[in-house]
Amino acid sequence: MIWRALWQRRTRSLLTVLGVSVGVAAVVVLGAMAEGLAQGYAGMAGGADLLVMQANAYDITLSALDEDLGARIAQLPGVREVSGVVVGMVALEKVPYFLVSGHDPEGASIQHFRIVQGNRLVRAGQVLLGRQAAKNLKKNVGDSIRLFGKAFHVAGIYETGQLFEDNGAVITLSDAQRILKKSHRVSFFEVSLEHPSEADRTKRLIEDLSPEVSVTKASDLADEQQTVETIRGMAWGISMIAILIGGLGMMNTMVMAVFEQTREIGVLRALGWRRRHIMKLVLGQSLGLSLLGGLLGISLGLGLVWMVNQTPAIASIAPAFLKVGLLLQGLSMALVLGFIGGAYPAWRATRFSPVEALRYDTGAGMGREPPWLRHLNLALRALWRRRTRSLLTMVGIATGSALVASLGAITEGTLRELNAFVSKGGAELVAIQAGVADMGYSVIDERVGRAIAAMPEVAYVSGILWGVSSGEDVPFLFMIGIDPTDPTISRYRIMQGRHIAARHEAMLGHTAARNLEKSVGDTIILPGGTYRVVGIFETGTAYEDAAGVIALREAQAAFQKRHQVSLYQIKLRDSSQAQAVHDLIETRLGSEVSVSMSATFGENLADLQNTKAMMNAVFTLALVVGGIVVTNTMVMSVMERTREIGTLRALGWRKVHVLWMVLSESLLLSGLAGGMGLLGGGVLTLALQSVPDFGAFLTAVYTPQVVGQSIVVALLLGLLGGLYPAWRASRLQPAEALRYE
Amino acid sequence: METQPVVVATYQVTRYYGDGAVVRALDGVDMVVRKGEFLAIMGPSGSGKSTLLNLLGALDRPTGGRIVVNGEDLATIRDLDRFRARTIGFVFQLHNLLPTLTARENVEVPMHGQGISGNAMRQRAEHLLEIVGLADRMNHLPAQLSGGQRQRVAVARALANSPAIILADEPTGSLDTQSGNEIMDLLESINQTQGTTILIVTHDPRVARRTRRILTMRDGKIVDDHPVRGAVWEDLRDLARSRLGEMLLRGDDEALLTQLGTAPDSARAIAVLRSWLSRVAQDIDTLA
Repeated sequence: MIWRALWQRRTRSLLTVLGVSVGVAAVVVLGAMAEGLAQGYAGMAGGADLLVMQANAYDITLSALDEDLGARIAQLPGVREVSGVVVGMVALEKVPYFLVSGHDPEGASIQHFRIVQGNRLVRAGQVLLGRQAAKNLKKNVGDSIRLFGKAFHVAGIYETGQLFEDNGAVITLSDAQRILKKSHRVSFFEVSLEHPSEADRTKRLIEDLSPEVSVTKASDLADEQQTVETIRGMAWGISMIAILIGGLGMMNTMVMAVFEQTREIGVLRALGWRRRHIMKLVLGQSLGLSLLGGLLGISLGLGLVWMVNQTPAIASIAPAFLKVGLLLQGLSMALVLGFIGGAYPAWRATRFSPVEALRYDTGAGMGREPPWLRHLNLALRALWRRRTRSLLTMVGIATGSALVASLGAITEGTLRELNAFVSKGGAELVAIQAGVADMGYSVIDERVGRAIAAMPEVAYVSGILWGVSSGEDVPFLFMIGIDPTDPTISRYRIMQGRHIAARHEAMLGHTAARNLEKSVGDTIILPGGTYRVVGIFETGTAYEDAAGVIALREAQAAFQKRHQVSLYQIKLRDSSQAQAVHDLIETRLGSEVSVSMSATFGENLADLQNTKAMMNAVFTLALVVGGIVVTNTMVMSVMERTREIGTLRALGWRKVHVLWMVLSESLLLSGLAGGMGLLGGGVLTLALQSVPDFGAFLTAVYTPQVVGQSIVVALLLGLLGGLYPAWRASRLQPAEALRYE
Repeated sequence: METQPVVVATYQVTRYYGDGAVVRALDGVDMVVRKGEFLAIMGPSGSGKSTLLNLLGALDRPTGGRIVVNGEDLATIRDLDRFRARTIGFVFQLHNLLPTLTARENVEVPMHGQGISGNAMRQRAEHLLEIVGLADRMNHLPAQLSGGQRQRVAVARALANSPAIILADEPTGSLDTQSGNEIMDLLESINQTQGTTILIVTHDPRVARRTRRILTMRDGKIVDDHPVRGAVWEDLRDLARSRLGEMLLRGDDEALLTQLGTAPDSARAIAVLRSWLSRVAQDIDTLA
């Protein structure tokens, strides 16, 4: 009886199943990708027992330690072997994040790269490619590949079974130190022990060597990476929204099913069925749908996982890794949806009095009407007629457009912040390292700065270094190093105290000071030691106001980047020369730095391209799930009005008339929802901004484009969702439609 | 009447359904309706009367044969929507009013897309609702009207574009006797005052008798076509077509007496009936 009811309304059931399945597929794919990322990090430990990295580093790829530390660790009791490894993210064409690691060709850490083709790594200038990377980049043994502008000869292809590594490349340690700007430094040390059971004891011994290191057991590596946490959180958030929209569609369907079956339910009750049985009937339908949706979603998810792993751009950073648990999670999520989506309609069904239910007439059963309704237009009245359904649909669309509005506004805000950040000092040009995966990885040698400063057109250059502190005292703090004598320090407008002037002095942005509950005169533990807070400042850009500022030299020491900066702001003698100087620097130092006009700095960043790619993915997800929900609603709406449409056609209405009637209803519905979504987007942004740690960095700017974009998403949903039902409505044969029950 | 122009003419119209086991819903229908006629199509369910109505209203296309309505061959009309809006007025068994529209707006529905201004539509709708006696119910929703009132709105709606012919499918089918009579009064007065041709499909003889011509269908064919000449006349027709009538006309008194019993005045009753029947018999071609 349950399956037959679902079969009778095939289109609707199919759409509902599709809606649920897209949500489930999102859970599977995004979950698999987050898991792949975690696995990738876990794999970085290679075959070692312990991993020694820089304390307070936000992410292992940002960690840096003095090379000499390795020898001291090797002398500790119980340590069998120590090898230093350098890892870094390189941007390749079409692959924004490509993991390159540098190993000593003779060391222990390179041993687990099993060569499947070609030869081992023996000298500088050679590169080994992971099997997947070789396939994605279409490179073979003997080919060459450019990393940071330098050509490397592909010596061999390896396979380790670790997703990150198989999507990455290996070069010699010294090459890596050179191209990743880490001379005499490594990202981390891999330590293998005589007796792995003594890991804890050795861990303490290493930690006693230097306050700058943190030691992680290889098995815990992934869980201790902030990046993994962030990505997991994001994957969870996005898939929850997809599931939410799918769930609304589900509830919508079931509310309609109960509506339509009112009379049937009345008959069943009159025949002596108990409320319990009715409940079971309705819940059975919704669970049946969600089960199908879950299974379809899982297969869809599997297909997408496969596709993800064929896409170099994604597979190199977040290769999808499937766990059975994830599939079960998707399926149970679908069933929970089915239960929640069915519970309310089921409860409603049991509340029908049999007598009323039997009298129920789908067409005319709408006696009470608020008088103001009469002044509304036709489409609005039609929506009012099915309030619950309209509301559920609107919430579904609004969620999607809220997401688009909020993310769009934040991207736009970030862009403006970035541009403000680099242009505040009045510098015309900005330089970051050429070829980096994102701003966070940028490193420029100070000699490059000196070369730029020596140009006659340049008034002065000011270099800043940034890093992220994630210690115990301060869980997450954006850090900026600037020379206290740099004229651009005046951009930090002091609200309290003064600018930094000497060693061990720090100033805090006012947001940071508030979050950390620090004021002038307090001390704070940051990378590089203990600092005294000498000033609280304000700049008006969220990034800086949530940051801590210390002297450039101290920052360089703390982040293991001696004589290096992240970014140069270049002030010219004559502003009109900007383009010329830009071209000049690009020609002379193009392999070292990439230069932008400061006003368009943000747009040129790889970071922003990546954010935009993610935005587009969310955009598409919202469109697909939302479109399914709208189609479903409009199909139902057309179905229940079949006779009305037949009447209109019999009275001489044209097909195009009927088409427009349905379409305008769906556009109205989604337009209203778009407005709702904008408000929701505002709320969502506020919610995101109130998240501790990173919330303070989020600035949202609602430009006309952002607002327009989310309205367009909503209207697009209306159009896409309305098109098929409208077409179907216009194609109804009047004679048959009039007979329709 | 014979001099009036022809509004509807069908020639050997057929309508078959299905591929394998073909259902012959209409099996060669010839009929002519002239302007200003008020006629009923009768017949049991499944006899093809609704199919015929749908074909005349261009809601459906015939399998074979020709249909000419208001001088236009339906097979050659390009714009059937326009034809339906301008030439045909429909009244359905279930009023089929749009539940979200008020009475006035429902009457305006067929005028949409006919190049009529909003104001003119409104005036026309109000005028029509006055004609059907609902001047005080114009802004009511269908749910706030009684069944008879709803059907009157439907009649007003059918008149919206001054159609050449009104096709009414069981217009009294879902009404009680009194409301049904009122609707028939309304249709009759529209036919007389406006001269609109009205074709009613019904299976209720009392409804059919209020028209002026009755077509009877059976198995997709028209089996009888006669003018209505008054209640007594119709009673006699019905009697003539009954088993009793057959016996009377055949002169089989013995069988008759067995049927009627042996009451003292049976013989006299039979004699009277026979004399009446023989007077109408010449009109009943099919029985002759």
